[in-house]
Amino acid sequence: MKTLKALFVNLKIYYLMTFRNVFLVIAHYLLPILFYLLFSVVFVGISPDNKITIIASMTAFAIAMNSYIGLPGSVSRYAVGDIKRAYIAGGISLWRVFICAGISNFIHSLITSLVILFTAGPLFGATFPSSILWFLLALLISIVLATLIGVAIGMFSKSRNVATLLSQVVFLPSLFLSGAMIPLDVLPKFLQYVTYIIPLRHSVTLLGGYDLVALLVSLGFIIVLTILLVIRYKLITKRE
Amino acid sequence: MMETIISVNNLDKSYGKHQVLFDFNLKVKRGECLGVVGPNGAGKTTLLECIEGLRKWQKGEIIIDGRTIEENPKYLRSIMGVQLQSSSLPDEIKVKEAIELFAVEHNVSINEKLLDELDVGNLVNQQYGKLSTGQKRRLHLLLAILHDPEIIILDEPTAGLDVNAKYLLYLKINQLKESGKTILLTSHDMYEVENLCDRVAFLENGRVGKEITKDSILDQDKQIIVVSTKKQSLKNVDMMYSTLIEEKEAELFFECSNISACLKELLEHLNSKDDEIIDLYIKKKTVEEELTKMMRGEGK
Repeated sequence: MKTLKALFVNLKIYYLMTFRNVFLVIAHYLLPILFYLLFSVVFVGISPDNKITIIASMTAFAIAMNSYIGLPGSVSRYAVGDIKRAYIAGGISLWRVFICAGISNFIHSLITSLVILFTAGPLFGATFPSSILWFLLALLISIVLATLIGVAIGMFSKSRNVATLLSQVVFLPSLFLSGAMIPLDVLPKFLQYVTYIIPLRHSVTLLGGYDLVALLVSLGFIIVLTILLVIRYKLITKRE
Repeated sequence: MMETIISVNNLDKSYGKHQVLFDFNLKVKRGECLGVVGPNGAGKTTLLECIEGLRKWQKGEIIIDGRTIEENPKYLRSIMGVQLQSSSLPDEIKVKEAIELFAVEHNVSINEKLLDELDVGNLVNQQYGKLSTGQKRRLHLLLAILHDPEIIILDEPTAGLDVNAKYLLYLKINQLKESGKTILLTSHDMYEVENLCDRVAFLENGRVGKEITKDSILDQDKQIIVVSTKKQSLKNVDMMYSTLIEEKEAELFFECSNISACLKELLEHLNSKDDEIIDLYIKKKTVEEELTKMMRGEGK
């Protein structure tokens, strides 16, 4: 009961704090929505065929923006430095903080994704997913995967600056090698192979429709990342 | 006789090749306020952080309330309240949220009286990042004692505070002492150590150089006569009842056990040299002065 109450209080505080930080509001809401509106106009303008893929690609982009750009900086504060030490010394469970960072990011990502899902049709004539259930499952898997990557960037960074830098290092290649911005078949052959190690590539595929390989690879990434994060958590919280 | 609540035994702690604590031993009794003082780099913060369970050490053991830190860290966190030297919270967290967070983690309800005592009640809707240094210190002290811990560890609790903020913290720390809490604190402010601590451990090169109690310093048998004269005739004179211990500009400081015999001796000498007194006063020794001397390496 105490654990649940503490988790709820942590989550409430973590979620509310996002809206007091201009950078986080921009990263979680303004930029994903703005880019979605801008790129949708461009993509549909280039080819009306893009109406079929616009929801999948823009949703993947929004999730990546939320998780890779917005999340790591706020997580890294608890993984190194004075806040981490104050929390440990004060008896605050850091695992609850990291879980709440993830859940909070999940909510932000879900909100922007749903905005895209329900406005892309009326605004740009985008094709609505043929199976909404599959889309929602794919969305769930994609957000969880991206969130784990965002938490990992934050937890493995030695400082907030390193986290910001790493965010960019992960975000930009993900954007261009996932198929969210550029069709994969226009890439050079060797880059097409490289795209298989980009988790966002599999999210774009999943959000576009049922794909067993993308599903299994995504689940594999989730398992590996979870194990890595548990190990990292042990290292973060052990005595220095 | 008071029972030992914190016992540091033969502790060795080093950072790489740099050893900070050498075979370190210290005992803190239940209900006492122990000050840990020493020059920068003496190992004060390292010692406290080992006791707080934030740092591991190479050799030795720390026993708190009969248990080692490894044995039951959760229990130790529940009986220990810690204010770190450099503590921080997220800038966007509101004071009331920080209090709620710490309270729920310790499964206690928020004590509104405590908020008022530390003058935090009026800050509850402010964000941490917008608080002044003094307000942050008061908040961190509040968070450290919110769960009514038996042991309170304060690492330079008043560093960088103005007089009013210091006064408020002194009041609260004294109140905690009176309620029987065990307090362990470090400070560079010797006035603070004198007024708050029952006992002082002076750290030198990673060891306890000296352990002193207030009573041992405030030795009532010895007092100081401070005198300045026109001709400065008291310099380099051998006295029977008084010893010249310090010269500060025109003032000479004589330590004496028998104040009337000492005064008589000084006045006789001045008369014989036809010297006149400009100023003369008697002062008591203070812990602050003695500690400051120790810090300067002039320990008694």
